[in-house]
Amino acid sequence: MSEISDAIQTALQSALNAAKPTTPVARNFVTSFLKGRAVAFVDIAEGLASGDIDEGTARYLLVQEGLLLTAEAEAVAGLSKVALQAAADAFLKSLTDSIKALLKIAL
Amino acid sequence: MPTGQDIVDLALKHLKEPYVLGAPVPKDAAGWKGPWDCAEFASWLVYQLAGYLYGCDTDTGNPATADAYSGWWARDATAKGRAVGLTVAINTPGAFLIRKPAPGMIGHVALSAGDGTTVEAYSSRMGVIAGKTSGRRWDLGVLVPGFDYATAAALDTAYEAPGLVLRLMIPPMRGALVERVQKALIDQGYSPGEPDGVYGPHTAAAVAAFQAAKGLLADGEVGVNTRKKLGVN
Repeated sequence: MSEISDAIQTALQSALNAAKPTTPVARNFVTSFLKGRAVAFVDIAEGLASGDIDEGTARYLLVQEGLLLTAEAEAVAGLSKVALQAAADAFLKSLTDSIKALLKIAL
Repeated sequence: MPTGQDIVDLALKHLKEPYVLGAPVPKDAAGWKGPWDCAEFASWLVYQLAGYLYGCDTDTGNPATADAYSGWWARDATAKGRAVGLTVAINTPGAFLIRKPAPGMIGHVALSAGDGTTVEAYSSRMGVIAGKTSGRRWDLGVLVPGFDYATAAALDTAYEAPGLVLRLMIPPMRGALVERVQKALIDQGYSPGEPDGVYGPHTAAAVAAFQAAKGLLADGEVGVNTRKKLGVN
């Protein structure tokens, strides 16, 4: 699903924009952690599209991913004193909006 | 005060030693060479360097008989501190990574070397290994009190999530992939119940039995490695 790959790039850019001013920690949070978590979003979206998982499972997993991103942003911010919640929120909103539109599901 | 790196250095001396699920380990036995269980290994490392029990059924009991468990590691991370995110744990030598146990299942505890690698008592086939943090599901990271930790300031160690991992959840996971896993288990002589596409306790137990027989980490979760062994795409 190349559309998902495009959606991830858009979401990562949204996160970088939201993280400004972009400190090294903020940049690494986006390019390492959020980019790494994107694999999970891709698998959930592809799993739903192929019927490997049903809509309820996909919805639940996406909620869990969102909670994890929020907790992670808080944890890193607690250590580094760099505010990252806006970056995590922007990434999550951009990506879930794209998935909803691509798969025509309500999340 | 011992450092997180001290934990890593001690753990690395035990690579390739044998693993037995649930094997008891006397935490005060400095010369212990296995068999190890994942949580027992982690609690033994802490006791050897800091002299107290962590992740065990008791804080004040006999270290020779105290029982370690991933669930108690998760409990202590909250009760005694310090639970940290995955990013911090992965970038900190000597932090621990925990996968909480689902009801009736085992979890897992691994030591982060701070560079994207782990040291962990992994499975009966592989024993104590140097593994990777990426591509695996973790619930939380822990910095154990009483150690001096040095977290990489830039937090730049990459981590990639594992993708879709079938596991026990409430409500249960459902779909065609679950059904394919159930049918593969039946084909190989295991009993996940009716292949109904619902990942319930019977399916998880059958997965754990399959994993144990294949020398995998028997946590009842179906990630990439277990899918490959089952021959499920």
